[in-house]
Amino acid sequence: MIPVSRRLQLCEAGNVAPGGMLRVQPEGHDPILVCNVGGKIYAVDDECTHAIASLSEGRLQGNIVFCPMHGGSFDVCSGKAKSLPCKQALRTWPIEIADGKVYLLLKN
Amino acid sequence: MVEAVTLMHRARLIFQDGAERSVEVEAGQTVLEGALAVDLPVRYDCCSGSCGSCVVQCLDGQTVVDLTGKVPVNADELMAGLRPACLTRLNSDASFELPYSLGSAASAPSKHSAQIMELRRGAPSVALLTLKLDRAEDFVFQSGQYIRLAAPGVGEARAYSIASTTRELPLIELMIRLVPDGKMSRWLQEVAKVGDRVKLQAPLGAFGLDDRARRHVFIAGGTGLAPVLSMIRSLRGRGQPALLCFGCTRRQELFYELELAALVAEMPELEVRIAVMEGADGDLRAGTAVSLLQKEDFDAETVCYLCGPPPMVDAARKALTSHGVASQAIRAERFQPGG
Ligand SMILES: Cc1cc2nc3c(=O)[nH]c(=O)nc-3n(C[C@H](O)[C@H](O)[C@H](O)COP(=O)(O)OP(=O)(O)OC[C@H]3O[C@@H](n4cnc5c(N)ncnc54)[C@H](O)[C@@H]3O)c2cc1C
Ligand code: FES
Ligand code: FES
Repeated sequence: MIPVSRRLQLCEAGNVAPGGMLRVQPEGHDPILVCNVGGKIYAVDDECTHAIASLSEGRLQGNIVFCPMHGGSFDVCSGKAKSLPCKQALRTWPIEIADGKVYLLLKN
Repeated sequence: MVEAVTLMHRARLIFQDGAERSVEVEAGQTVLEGALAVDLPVRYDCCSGSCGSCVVQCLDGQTVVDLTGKVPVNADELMAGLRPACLTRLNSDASFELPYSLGSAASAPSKHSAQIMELRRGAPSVALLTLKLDRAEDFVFQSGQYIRLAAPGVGEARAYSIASTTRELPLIELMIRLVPDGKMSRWLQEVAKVGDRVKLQAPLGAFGLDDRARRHVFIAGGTGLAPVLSMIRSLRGRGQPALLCFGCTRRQELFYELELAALVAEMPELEVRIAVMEGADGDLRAGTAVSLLQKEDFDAETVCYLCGPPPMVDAARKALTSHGVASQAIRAERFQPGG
């Protein structure tokens, strides 16, 4: 197992309803997009890999997030780019839910 | 027996340097998707019809262009065979000419960080912005290309053409028209200051010099001067004749006059004509950039470059066509809002 050295609190799990997403900017860290896909929470980078846009201002449909800028899309579960102009995958982050809070797991 | 239906066609892509590649384009796929599926370094940006980076010249074949949303070319250009590769599907094999070289030195687009080194007004509604890239070692762009600028607190990034050349790197010079209620315009007027940090994506776009031309005619409206200025500056030392027709709406909005005069002194092969729609005096002519053109300005080895707001580009293309300039000898960049 990968040793986890640090965890960062992102939000309360209840803050993100199924089908919803939330942009969180932990201190000293790039903004993270917390998505709730049918009750399961995923965390990915908030910045689109195509250009410079915040995916939190786009739209989440099932497990696919659509970028507000040019409409490219990603699978938030795998990070995979699903439609042009997005080609490069979105970084996915391991998370943990404890005491109703969502934590980002950072490894060293 | 059921006859096999061809669900796939081939697109032959001919680059400016003569290099050719043939790619498969499946039914439902765009020409751009076909080219990217085999990782060809074709230029594209928005994939949604607004930036114009993917526009290619169709030479033969049956194409279907999706006209339901934004389209970066007008009806005349479609008639002349220009096709936005991100919106074009095939009904037969087809050939396309791309306005850049396969062996182009331009870097693939990537994200950069930069600092504002200078911010001044060229005219009340024109901001001249100089950025310094934090890392420019591997950054190569082609004169004519643009960047996408993201400023802190401005939700949306905006496209701006580079006015400087690779010689000035790590500095990048931009010319930005301040539009009323514009998000980036407001940031530049009210917030931005020297030392501020910004993010950008670059280099982008396919606007650039045609290396095969012997003579170059540039037609720029307002801040449409930026990319053509970069191209003109990159022609220094080549000795090829060049004409710049530059137009602004009002005398007070005219900018960069002194810098252009200095450039002419340095480049005797360059002629600059300037027009304003209101308030012409002295050497300034009354009218638009397009009105500065004369029939004698063109010959068979001339390539024309148009840049500015979409209506100006449309008008310039019409004027060039009436002067007998062939579609293949016209290149254009439109400053589409929200590109
Ligand atoms: C490939 C490309 C290159 C570009 N290069 C340049 C460049 O070098 N210099 C430059 O100044 N611009 C350039 N643009 C345009 C630029 O990207 C922005 O659209 C423009 O600066 C407005 O951004 P804004 O955030 O200030 O205004 P926005 O918030 O986008 O717009 C505010 C309002 O103003 C309107 N508007 C936008 N642009 C204009 C305009 N030109 N005239 C009148 N109304 C307008 C919009 O429709 C909107 O209603 C380029 C565009 C593209 C696609
Ligand atoms: S910035 Fe996200 S699709 Fe272009
Ligand atoms: S990539 Fe086709 S218009 Fe922008």
